[in-house]
Amino acid sequence: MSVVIKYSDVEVGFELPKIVHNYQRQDLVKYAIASGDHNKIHLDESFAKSVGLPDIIAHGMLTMGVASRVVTNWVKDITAVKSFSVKFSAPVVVPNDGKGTDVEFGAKIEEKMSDNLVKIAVEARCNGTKVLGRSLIIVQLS
Amino acid sequence: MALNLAFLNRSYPSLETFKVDQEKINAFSDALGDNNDYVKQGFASPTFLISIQMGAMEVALFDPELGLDYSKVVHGEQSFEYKKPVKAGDELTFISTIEDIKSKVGNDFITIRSDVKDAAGQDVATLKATLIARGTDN
Repeated sequence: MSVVIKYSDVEVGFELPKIVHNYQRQDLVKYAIASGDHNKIHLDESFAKSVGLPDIIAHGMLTMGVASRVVTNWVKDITAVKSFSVKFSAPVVVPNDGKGTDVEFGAKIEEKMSDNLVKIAVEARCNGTKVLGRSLIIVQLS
Repeated sequence: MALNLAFLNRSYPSLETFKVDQEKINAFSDALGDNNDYVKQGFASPTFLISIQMGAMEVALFDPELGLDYSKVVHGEQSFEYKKPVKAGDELTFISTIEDIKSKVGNDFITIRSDVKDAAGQDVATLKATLIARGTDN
């Protein structure tokens, strides 16, 4: 693999292509199995409500994982990804209505650093609410 | 409910080596909708290591002496620093350290750092997870 996007070709403020991801109950079950996180707030509606949540909420790490796709879909090369940090600022509530919940993900180049490193700020919104706080991915371009 | 500060700086080496295989990589990427070529080439999605960190942390998090009410836990923050990508065939070990414990406005916060190495002893990644146990009054 090699990184095809050149550091010299990108500018601060460049917006990566957005993605919209739909969360349904069965997606949370699938993520629970793949990740080993079987916390009942993600799987059991009556339990989630019993601990004061409005309904089942998605795994924060599912949102972080989907957010990474905004950058990896663009940069293509996994070896380019040097760090990734997120803050979870609001839950993604997933009702059992057959429609699920849409989250829109976007990312923008915030800073060109030394060594061809680029700092990218990632955003995720659900019904207008930011579900990620300050979230950054650093990638190394060619 | 406050957490037991005696757990601060305690380290928990993983008791077993975690073998990464293509099936686990595929299952994780599939759950995220990540169908980039690197997955087919045997490389894991960027957040894959969380699937190992969760298990590696359980010894500490489920210790009743810590005083963490796991039914109240939500994820506050997560970070990854990568030295090399995770790929099928890797045999990884984790050392997880409780880096911070605090209570703020009725909520308990615990931060765990996991240092991940491969079979050759080379650094693969460092993960940090901050979990929040929400107080009963909010």
